Amino acid sequence: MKNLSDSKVALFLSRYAKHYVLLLPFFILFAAFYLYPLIYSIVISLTKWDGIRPPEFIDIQNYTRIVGTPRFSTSMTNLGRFVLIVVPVGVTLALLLALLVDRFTPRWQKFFRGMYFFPVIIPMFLSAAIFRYLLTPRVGMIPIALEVLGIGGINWLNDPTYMVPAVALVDMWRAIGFNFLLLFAGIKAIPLEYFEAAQVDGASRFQQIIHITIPQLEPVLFLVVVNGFIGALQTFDIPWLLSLSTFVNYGGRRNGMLFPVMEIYISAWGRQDFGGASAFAVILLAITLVITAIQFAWRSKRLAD
Amino acid sequence: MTSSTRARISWRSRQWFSLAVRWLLAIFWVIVAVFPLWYTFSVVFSPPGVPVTRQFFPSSFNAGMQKVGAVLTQTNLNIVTASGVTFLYAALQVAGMVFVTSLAAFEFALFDFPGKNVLFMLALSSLMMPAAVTLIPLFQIAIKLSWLNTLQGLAVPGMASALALFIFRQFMEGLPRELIDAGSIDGASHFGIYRRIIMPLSGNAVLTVAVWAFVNAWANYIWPLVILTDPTMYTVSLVAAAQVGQRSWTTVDFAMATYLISAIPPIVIYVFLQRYIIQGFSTTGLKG
Repeated sequence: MKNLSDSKVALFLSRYAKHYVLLLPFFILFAAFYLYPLIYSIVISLTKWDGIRPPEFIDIQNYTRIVGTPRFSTSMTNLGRFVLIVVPVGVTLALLLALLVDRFTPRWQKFFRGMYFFPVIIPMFLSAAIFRYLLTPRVGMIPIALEVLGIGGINWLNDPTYMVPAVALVDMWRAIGFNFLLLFAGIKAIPLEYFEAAQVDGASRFQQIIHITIPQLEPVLFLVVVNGFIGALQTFDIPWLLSLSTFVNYGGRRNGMLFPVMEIYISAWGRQDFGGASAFAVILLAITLVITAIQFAWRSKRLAD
Repeated sequence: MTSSTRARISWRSRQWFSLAVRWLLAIFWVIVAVFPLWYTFSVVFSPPGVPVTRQFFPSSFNAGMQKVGAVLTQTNLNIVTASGVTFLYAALQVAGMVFVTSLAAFEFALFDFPGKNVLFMLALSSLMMPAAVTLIPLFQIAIKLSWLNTLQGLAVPGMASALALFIFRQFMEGLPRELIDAGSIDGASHFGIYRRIIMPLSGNAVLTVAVWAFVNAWANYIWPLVILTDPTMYTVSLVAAAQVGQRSWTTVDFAMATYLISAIPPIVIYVFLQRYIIQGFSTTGLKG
């Protein structure tokens, strides 16, 4: 018996060991810098810890404590408003641009695609830094341009009503380029015969878009929306720099640009509240999982119908 | 004028009109996409003290070079030093990432073994995880390993990238499997097949991953912010961010010149290697 199981192991190893060996470098790094930190975060979120003295287990007190703070609710409200702008507007504009560029000759399509994707390669810290000038009241190019259109006098950087839209504006400058690229590639992948058949049937361009392009793009639209949500939850660079945040003073006037990751960063490194910061991070993780699950469930239901 | 010619004329003018609208909209978005960087360039290459509201075009090459010179020779938080640090960090991260992810993708794309799908899904699940969740533990690990203010501290945690793994796997799945059989008949070892047959054919995927990872490393802000305390180790992101919010015109000029310089590497890469970024994203997006 013993011999048999030994030889089974030996057979297994001789057949598969080489595969696991080559997976090892990746999974060692993955375990050390992703899986272990993930578990560590959840454990730390249940402790009182200043990063120096040994952590002290306090159950879910961090969660109950931080959820009650005004900074938590403000940052979550800001995040919600941000998502409500960035996802619908960012995806719709990108889709319109993709449909627009599709009408040009291949050479021009290549040109426009290259130009529209350009903002994606500009680091976010730079777009935030530059837009900080572009948005400055009275002298910035954006308020000046809006003044011409009759929408003057908005203080994008200091009026709590407009601070989240300002962050969304800077984010969308980049995100639209990214969404555009995926949607445009999706349009190019739709078989031309579909459109030819529709033309034979006398469908107008608008009908073709509604009945062929958009249904065919559904998987890509889905990806872009999911990606938009996940990206939004992580927003840090743009609001942090637009609001000139530091450990002492952050989030801008009346916390109008306070976002969850900023609050996590500040509670950990500014206030040495590593437990509370981890609890907030875990809440963010849970929200990500719930939203992704809802989106997938919604999609599989639609596909089933 | 008969009604049919009138109809034809109105049809043609409508064609013209919609063509003009398309061009206007398409060009409008080109302007939106390039304006922030173009504006930065114009402010830098204009005489100092001209109100920034009027700088749509560069007007003085010499003034620009003077501002750039001032930024390059700055002693405190020097952008050249920071660029060096960022280059080394990005290069280290790219090299490590290409090696470990291509090796794993080789297995996932071309072979079958128990646990394959579970391991692959586990790796991909990290794609949707907010980076903030692992930030604090990673900082603690960096302290334990004495990795604060080091290149390995900047580079190593990001190497096991699920997106890079995914791009490599998509690419390698398209390679003919006969190559492997041919390789093993010729007596190549398992690693030999990876090194001598698969990798030489995967140049496009390597470039896609490398270009994307380099641009990302250059843009990384929060991780350097967390683990770098020594200003001589600052990355470009931290040096540029230190200039945000300057108000007087001398400091605005200095800040703008700093931004312009820190945008050069990603822009140069995009101009020359655009194809790889666009290919990589289009195909992963469609298959994902």
